[in-house]
Amino acid sequence: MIQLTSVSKSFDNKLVLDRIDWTVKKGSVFGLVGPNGAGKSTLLRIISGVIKADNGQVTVDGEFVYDEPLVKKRILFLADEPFFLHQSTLREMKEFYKIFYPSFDETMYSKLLNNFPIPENEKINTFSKGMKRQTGLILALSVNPDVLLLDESFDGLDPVMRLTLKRFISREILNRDMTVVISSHNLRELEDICDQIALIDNKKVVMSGEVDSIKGDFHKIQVGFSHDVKEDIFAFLNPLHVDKMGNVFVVVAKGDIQGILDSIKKLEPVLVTELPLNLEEIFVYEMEGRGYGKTI
Amino acid sequence: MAKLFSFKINGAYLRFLLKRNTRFMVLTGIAMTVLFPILAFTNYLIDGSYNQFVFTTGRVFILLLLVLSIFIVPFLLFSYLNSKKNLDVYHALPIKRRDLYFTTLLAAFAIILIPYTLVYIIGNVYYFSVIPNVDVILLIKQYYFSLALTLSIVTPILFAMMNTGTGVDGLLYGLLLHIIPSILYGAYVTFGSAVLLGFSVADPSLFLLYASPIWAIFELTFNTTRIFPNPILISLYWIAFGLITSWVVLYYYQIRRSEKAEEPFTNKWFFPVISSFFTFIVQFFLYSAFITLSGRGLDFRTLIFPFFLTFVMYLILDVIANRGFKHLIRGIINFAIIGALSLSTFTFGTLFDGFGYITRIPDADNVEKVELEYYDPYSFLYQSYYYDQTTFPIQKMYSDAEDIATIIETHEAILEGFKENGYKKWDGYSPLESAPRSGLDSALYQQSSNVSIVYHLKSGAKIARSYTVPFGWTTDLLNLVDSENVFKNRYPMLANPDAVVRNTVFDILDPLMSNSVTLSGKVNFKLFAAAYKSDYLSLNEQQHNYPDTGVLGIIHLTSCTSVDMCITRGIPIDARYTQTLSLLTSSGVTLPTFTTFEYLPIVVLPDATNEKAPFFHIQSLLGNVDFYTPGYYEEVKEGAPVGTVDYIEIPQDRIIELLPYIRTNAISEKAVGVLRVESDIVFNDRNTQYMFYLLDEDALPLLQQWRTELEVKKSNYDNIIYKYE
Repeated sequence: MIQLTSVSKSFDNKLVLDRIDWTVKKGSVFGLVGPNGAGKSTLLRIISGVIKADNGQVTVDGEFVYDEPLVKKRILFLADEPFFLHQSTLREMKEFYKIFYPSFDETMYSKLLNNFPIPENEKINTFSKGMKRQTGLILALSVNPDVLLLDESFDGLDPVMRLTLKRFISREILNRDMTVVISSHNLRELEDICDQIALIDNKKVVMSGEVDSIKGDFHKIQVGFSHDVKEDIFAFLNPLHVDKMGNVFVVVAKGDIQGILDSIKKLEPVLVTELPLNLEEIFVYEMEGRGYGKTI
Repeated sequence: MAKLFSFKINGAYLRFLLKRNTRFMVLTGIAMTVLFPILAFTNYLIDGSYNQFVFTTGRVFILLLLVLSIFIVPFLLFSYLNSKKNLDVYHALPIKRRDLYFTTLLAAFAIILIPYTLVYIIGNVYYFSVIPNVDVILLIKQYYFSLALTLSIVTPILFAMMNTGTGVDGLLYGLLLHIIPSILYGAYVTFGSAVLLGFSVADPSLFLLYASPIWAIFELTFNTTRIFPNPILISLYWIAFGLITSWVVLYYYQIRRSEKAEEPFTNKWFFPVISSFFTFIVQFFLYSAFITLSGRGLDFRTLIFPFFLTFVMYLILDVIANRGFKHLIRGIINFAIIGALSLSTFTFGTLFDGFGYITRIPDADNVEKVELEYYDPYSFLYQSYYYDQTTFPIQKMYSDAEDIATIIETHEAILEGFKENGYKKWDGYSPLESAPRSGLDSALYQQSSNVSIVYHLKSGAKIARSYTVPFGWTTDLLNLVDSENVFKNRYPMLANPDAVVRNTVFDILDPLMSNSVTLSGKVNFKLFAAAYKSDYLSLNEQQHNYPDTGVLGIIHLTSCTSVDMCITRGIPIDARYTQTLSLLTSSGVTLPTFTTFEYLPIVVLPDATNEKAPFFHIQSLLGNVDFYTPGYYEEVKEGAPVGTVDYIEIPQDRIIELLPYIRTNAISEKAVGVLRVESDIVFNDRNTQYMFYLLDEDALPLLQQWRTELEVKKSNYDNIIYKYE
């Protein structure tokens, strides 16, 4: 279990993370979302022990992480831009990782190589961006960590590769009880793979929980009136978003669906229909509700 | 803090780094092999013989390559520090940061030293096999010194890397950190030379030996003559420095802000501190240099150019640091502060005469010994610059209490001379320019003497001063004439007879050098040297400088320590040299007597009516001859013939009358005559075949008689000395 208690971090007196309390249960796949500059990467760097929190505690299974090799052996952090030694090959990188991670699994490595067509003895700097990402993921997964931290690691992969990796990770989680934290802007991807999700905004984790539970809390309802009404008619719902097209409205609101529907029906609409809402829309509406990107 | 001192080397990672950098080691090894053993072998193919110098040159080359690789390797191994994505991986690795740091540092050390060690061994085994009498201990010591100082050269570069975010900045500031001690020393020396009267540095390389590891690695490795400070102790000092700075670097490594990687500086204080200090000392250096070059003294107009020169330099550093002109105004303000500080420090130091530096003379009780170098215009004491010092090293150290007191008195007399002008050096004051222009005073004060004094205090400290002053301020030093050091420097072959391999000339001449008899095969040289030394040292300074007996003969001696290293001396003998005369007599030598000269000798007559008498000396019969005539400069002013003197050409049959009165190694402050002869016997390192003898005061009645009996002629002073006509 990853436990963050009142974790704060500043860069040049600029607060990036403010007293974050957050828990990631063992064996869960956590999606970390948030606007640009929200602190997602910083959070992952703190968890992996790359940087130290200014305040608060970070533990993995109750052990502090920063500069503690025994704990760090069980954590693999794959940054948004994968690192490879200068002029190195995949084979050399494998040797590099094997030095530090006794858990490095040759069988897994071979299996991954069979799935991903990466030449083992060619210089990595000649690879395409996507191949480099695949290389990074092969190495990360071969390390066989208990905690895998992926910072936008699927970006740049083609859809087939993305799917293959997702399947692979899902299987490993099932087999090994691996904890995975994935930060991404691509919420559709996270929706497919993650069972939990956290939203970081304004230096804090503002929302965290199971995907289904979050999705159940947000509702998109189409409402039609026979006469002209103003948008503020829905103000009592504290809506995250209201769209108007003639006399038809699309309202996004949080809360109990039945309560919301009952309240709307009191307005005597001619049409009330609940529309499907995916995670990406929830993220967008939630961020809009917080004023993010609203002015454009 | 205690945690800092416990670390583990990750062997697997160390091997990994060595394997990855094998090619670099091979390349370095090849370059070193080419410049050491292959260079020596190539030289052998060309010359057909081995030259020790080529091997020494090869060792210098590989040490240069070692220093070069010291600058490169940290950037190969610690390059991850300059990339955020690299840092993300390295610092996420399950290894403690101090273990990662020390493992990488050890790998850097190995990558630097493995090729050097291999080539050093191969090259020196080759050297050992072809050059006889190789000093193996010296070779081992040289290797040890290069090994001992490697870490201390690496750590300043690492320190710069820990405080900068890019490779370029790391390299620039690593170089700067290594350059700063040299510039600091240059600024100190230039300031002292420009401003401080008597400024001198006892051991010019001592500061850099302790301040610059690059200087020290070359000095310790190749200056094999250095005894103090003990090279081993210096190497231990640098090992301690390397270890301490390794931990300082580790501290900075652990607090280094990885989010600042790829930015010029990871520590916001690094650039202001280093660039300000650098600019400060460069300014100080340039102020002093410009004051010296301009010769205008402390004229503030002289400082304008160096001020603006450093201004431009600082702004360039600022622009590089900020990657643009965004902070130019702030840079200008910073420079204004640095400039004001350096200018005020410079002015303050100048006006206050280095805070007591100038007038400090140690108490004789605190002085253990004194190192003296004295070059007087008349070569009264010795002519140290007239012979190759590698033949017989100059003896400079005086430890006798009386000699120390004499040197201190001279030092006091020099300061007394400068006191009138408030000890100012920087205002262009020269005591020589204000010296009297004629007569004996001009002889004393127109000519300059160079005096360098290094007091070795009982505390172990040294005080060094150096002056160029009128000869008259230093005449106290002539009292050192009876010291053994002066004997050693005057007649080094007699002081070190065991070092003499052979004498190519060992003759005795008559006092006027018209006739010679060889002593080779008749007189035992070592016995002669011992007898003469004993006679010389039995005379006091009064007897040396004012002899009361005529010269009986002159030993013409050319001694060699090896085939190419020979020196010649004319060694006078008079009645006081009893042991020497006794040895010559017992060896069956009859002193040669005067025969005739091809050209008539002349005697320069003193002007008895003029107190501004000729001032004359002869030293060892080999020195530059100089004397001064009355009214030399006054007559120039009046348009009269320059330096006219009276002289008489002496008939051959009458010269013998002068023999009892001729003196060598003598000083006269009275108006006496001077005898010039033109001998066929020419010493090999003289620049004139004229010989000059000072006549004793007792010769004055004879000269007065000759004035009436013989024709008195007039001639130009220069013609008498240099034979221009």
